[in-house]
Parts: sequence; structure tokens; C-alpha cells
Amino acid sequence: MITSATYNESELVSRLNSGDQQAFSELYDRFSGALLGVIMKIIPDQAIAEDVLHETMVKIWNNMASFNSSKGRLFTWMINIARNQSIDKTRSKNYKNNSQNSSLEDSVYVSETYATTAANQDTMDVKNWLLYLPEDNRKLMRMAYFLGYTQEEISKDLNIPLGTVKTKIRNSLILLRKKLNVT
Amino acid sequence: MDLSCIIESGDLELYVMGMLPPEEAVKVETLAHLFPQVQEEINLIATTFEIGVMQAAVTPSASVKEKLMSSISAKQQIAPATTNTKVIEMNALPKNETGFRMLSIAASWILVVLVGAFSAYLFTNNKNLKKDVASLQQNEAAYEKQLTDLNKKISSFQTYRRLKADAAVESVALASVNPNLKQQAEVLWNKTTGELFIDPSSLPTAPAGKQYQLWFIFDGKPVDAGMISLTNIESIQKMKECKGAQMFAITLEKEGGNPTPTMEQLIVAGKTS
Repeated sequence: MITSATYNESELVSRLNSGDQQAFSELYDRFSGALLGVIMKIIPDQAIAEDVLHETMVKIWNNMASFNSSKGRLFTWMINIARNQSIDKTRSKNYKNNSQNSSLEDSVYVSETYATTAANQDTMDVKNWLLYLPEDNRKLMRMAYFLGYTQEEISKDLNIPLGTVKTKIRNSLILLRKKLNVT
Repeated sequence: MDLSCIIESGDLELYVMGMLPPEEAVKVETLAHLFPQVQEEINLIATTFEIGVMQAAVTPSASVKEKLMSSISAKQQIAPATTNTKVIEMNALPKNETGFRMLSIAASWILVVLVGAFSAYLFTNNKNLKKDVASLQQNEAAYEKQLTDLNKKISSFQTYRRLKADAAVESVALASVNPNLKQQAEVLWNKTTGELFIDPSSLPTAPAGKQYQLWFIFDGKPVDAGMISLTNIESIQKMKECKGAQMFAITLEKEGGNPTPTMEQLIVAGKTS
């Protein structure tokens, strides 16, 4: 288990809530890499992804008061902010106007191909946890989680029933759990 | 209760990944609160999710942190303003209420201070006005006195002019018996009617307890013509009637006068024509 025991979440949260910048620095050291990993799944360009990381961290700092630990975990909450911030970025005019990212579908395709190739070359590379999943589940997870598609959109796009979308997402997580030895 | 339908629905996964619509998220939260089994499943999903994410970490450039730390220290915590969950809205409501209450309290205090300041202003103003009125009253009294004095002077001048213009009135200048002193007075006498006036304005102020007394000399005898008023030294004064006189004289006597003149205190004298 990587996340637990090595830090005291509630203590860190209360320090962050009192505006402790040192606590924020620790938070950054612990989680910025993971968040950048999430962002780069959506925005492969590292320079742009790092801008989004900056925006994400500022948002986390400004919204600490709205974090409710009884409803969820700090890291999960941060991951979701990073994800939403990234999806917002891909939908912004600036990002779309950039010729490098003119086609989101292309970029997804390239990224997917690259990831697959990389996985084929080195099966021990677990940088992309999506690679643990069977291909159709992987695509679905990418659409759902990283591209911000709604379940209805996925259902329509992949031509599968709505219930199946949920089931596949669940199965993906169960599979991951086994692969990552989470019990 | 069989919770498998909830656990297997896929909603818990979507919940952890922040992909459930808010109203469905609230349902999941309620269930998690009620059933430890659901909470446990959520924890497992979150752990899986977090570990997966951790493994895909990419180290950011060092410049990102530098820029970030300076940007958050530049603008200290700003009030939460995102769309994230209902928590924000529920927090925001009492905050607004508190804000309103604080505003009301602040407004009340400001009002108290303003009323206080206004009262103090009125009090000072009232005090000043009273002072002004008192000083105006004082001025008025002073003016009134001046006016009385002026009127007295005018009537005195009028009397003097009238007497001077009257051919029947003889003007007798009384000069100091001591040639070194410039003390003098003027007697205006109507020989036919016997009316007698004195202009003592040029005499020096009588010493305390003393008073000037006018005499006329008739057939070699001094006759009392009356006391010269101490208060009306500036004006023409009407004296006792005098039917005939060869000379007029003023002596300095005790206040109230003497039946016979004290010749050592003869101040001025003048002969009639």
C-alpha cells in the first residue's frame, strides 16, 4: 500500500485549512507527480500539462475549505480536480486552436497506439494503469474518465447498453484491484 | 440486507471517480453512511484507483513548484467558489448569513457612532450658540450705552448751539487762576431769564470725594450756583437761576458742596461783560 500510513491525512487537511504553505508544499511533493500523470493522460504535451497542474494545485489550495473528509479521501478528491481541470482545458478555445491538438480523436488514437506499443515492448511498464485492462474496457475507461464523456455518450458512441457501460467500468476496477493486489 | 446489487451496480466506481451526477452521489453517500459494507467497498475502489494513479506518476519540472508556491503566497486563500459539490453550497449559506449578521452589527455600530457624533455636534453647537447669544446681548448693552452717551452728547451740543445762537445768552469763559494750567470752563447765561448753564467738559476729573461747585459773585458776595454733576462731566449742565452777576467761579469742594466757597480751591474764574 503506497498511500496509507506514511502521512496523516486529517492533520495535513487541518494545516491546509489554516493556510499553512509548508503543508501545501508537502502536499505538492507527495502528489504532484501522480496528478501530472493523470493530466498527461488527457493532455500529452508536458508543457501544457504542467500549466494545468499549476491551475489544479491553485484550485486545490483555494478550495480546501470545501473538501469534506467524511465524504471522501483527499487524494481521490485531488485526482478528480486534476481530471476535471484537464478536460476543461481540452475544451477551451485556446487548446482547440492549437494545431498540434486540432483533433482530440487523433491525439487519443496516437496516445493509445503509443501506449500499446510501449506495453508490447516492455510488459513490465505499468506507467499506464489502463494497460492492465482488456482493450474494449480500456477504451471505455479512457472515454469515461479521461475524456469526460457521459455514460450516455459512451453508450451511444460504442453502441452498447447503458447498463453495460457501468458494468464494464466496474469490471475494469475489479481487474485493476487484482492486478494491484488491493485487498 | 443484500447489498450486492448496489456493490455490483458500478455506481460506487463512478462515485469514487467523481463521475456520478450530484443527486446520485448523495444517494451513494447515504448508503455508505448506513452500511459499513458499502463504505468498505468504496474504500477498496478508492485505494485501487489511487494506487493505479500513483504508478502512472510523471515527475513535473522543478519550475512548476516554484511558480506555484510564489503564486499562492501572493494571493492568500480566496473564498471557495467552485461547482464541485453540494457541500460548497451548504457551507456558503451560513457564511452568507454570518456575513449579513456581521454587516448588520457593523451597521448598528456605525449608526451608534454616527448618532453619538451628531449629538456631540448638536451639544457643541448649542453651547456655541448660547455663547454667541450672550456675547450679542453684551454687545447690545454696550451699543445701547454708547447710543445713550451719543444721544446725551447730541442733546448737549444742541443745547450749546441753541444757547450760542441766542443773542440774549452771554458766554463767559472761565480760565485757570494758575497761568501754568490750561483748565477752563464756559458759562452760558441768559441775563433776562436768569437761565444759567455750564460746560465743564474741559475740566480735569475731580479727585475722589470731591466735586466742582459753581459760584456767581453778585455785589461782591459769592452765591452758590449749584453742583457740577460728576457723571455728566461731558455735557452742558443746567445750573441754578442767576439774575445778576459780575463774575463766575468754580471751586473744588467736598462732595455735595459747601455754603461758602473755599477760596484756596478756586479752579477757574471769569468776569461777565
